[in-house]
Amino acid sequence: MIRQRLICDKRDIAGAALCSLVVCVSIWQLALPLSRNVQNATLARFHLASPSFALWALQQPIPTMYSFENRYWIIDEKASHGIQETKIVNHFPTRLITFGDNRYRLFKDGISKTVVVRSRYRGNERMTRCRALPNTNGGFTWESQQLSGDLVP
Amino acid sequence: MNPLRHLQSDQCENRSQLTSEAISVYRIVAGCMVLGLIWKLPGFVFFYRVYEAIPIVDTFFPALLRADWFLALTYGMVVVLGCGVFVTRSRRYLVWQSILSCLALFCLCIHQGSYNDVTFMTAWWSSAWLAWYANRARHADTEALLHAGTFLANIIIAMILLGGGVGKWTAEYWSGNVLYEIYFVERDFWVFNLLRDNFSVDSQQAIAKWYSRMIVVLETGCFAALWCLPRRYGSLLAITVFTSIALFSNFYLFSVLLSPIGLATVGLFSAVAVGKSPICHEAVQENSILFTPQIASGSPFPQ
Repeated sequence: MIRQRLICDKRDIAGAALCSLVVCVSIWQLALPLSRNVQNATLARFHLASPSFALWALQQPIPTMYSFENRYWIIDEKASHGIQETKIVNHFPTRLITFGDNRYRLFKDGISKTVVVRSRYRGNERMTRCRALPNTNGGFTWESQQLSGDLVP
Repeated sequence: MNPLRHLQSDQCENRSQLTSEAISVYRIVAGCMVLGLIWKLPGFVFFYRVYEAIPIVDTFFPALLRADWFLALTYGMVVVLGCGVFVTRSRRYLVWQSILSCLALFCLCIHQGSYNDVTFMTAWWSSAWLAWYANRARHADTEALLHAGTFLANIIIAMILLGGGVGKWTAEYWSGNVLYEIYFVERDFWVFNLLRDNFSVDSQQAIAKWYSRMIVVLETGCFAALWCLPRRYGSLLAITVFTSIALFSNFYLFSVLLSPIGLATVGLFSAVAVGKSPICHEAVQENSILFTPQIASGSPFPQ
């Protein structure tokens, strides 16, 4: 009886590892709508507020493009109505402060800024107030604080 | 001991270099990954200048992962190493190129100036696949390599699509509100300009709702389809879906989508018929009736 089979010189351990990684990530993704813990971990990831940087970094290869409803409010502390601008962004609402064109738009005048960001997913939400203050190096130092739901601007 | 071992080592491919077919696949995947990074080079140069002029200190990130020079170094390293694959087929170079790219892209995924950019995440998965491919080329012939490579590429693509799909399983996307605000209100892109010029706000909101639902269903459905469909059809489906997402939403998305598009092309090279495993080196009969080892050659596409 002829036995046809795939014969290679060595077992494909790297392939099995990559396949296992993909399966684990897929299980994590499928658990997102079901598990409050997974939701909280991902919401914290979006707000740069994971318990440690290592835990946050471990989640970064997990695809989450255009996930959750992410909204930001730029707070004008001098104006009476308080809100200078509000918009929805696709993912990682903290990008407003850290990422290229928005960083330029927000901080080119060298004045401190307060931004509130909120991410919502299936009834679960996280809200963070980010305050960027000028520092001695000509840049800004950013402090963030988690807010409860009733502080929505 | 397998009596074919010495025959295999004599007659199989020279594994210090990849075959023409194997290196073509590698170059397409790596080339798409690098092209995706270059796609955003003008924006990246501008961002780098902003980061230099307006440094932000968030102590959540280690100092190295806030440094502008490190951002530029890792980005440049991936692009330069990636260009190198077009001038050599040395497996040793490809192994180092893929591993270093994988490390550099991970740094870009966790850098303060680039963590939110999904381009680097999709490129990281491509580089992980390339690292596997370059290493595996030492132990498997082209046909088997492409067979396994297509499977891995397709499940990576399925996972990338699932990530987008699952994150949208929420009322705000099902109602279309999120995409309406992101795209329909003021995005300067041919599709949305056309819609704004020809439809009322109410009609645009209705279109946004069905557009959003279509994306949710498409991304989720493609996850399932890529696991179930024959590999070649799965690859064609992925290429079509990714290309249409960029063409109908935002050309900048090509920076994100070129990496998975490159991965999807692997399936087009797999010469294996639907549902049939490749015979890598030999057909083994009990009591050792030997066959000449088979090496895949010729056109990657079925005649």
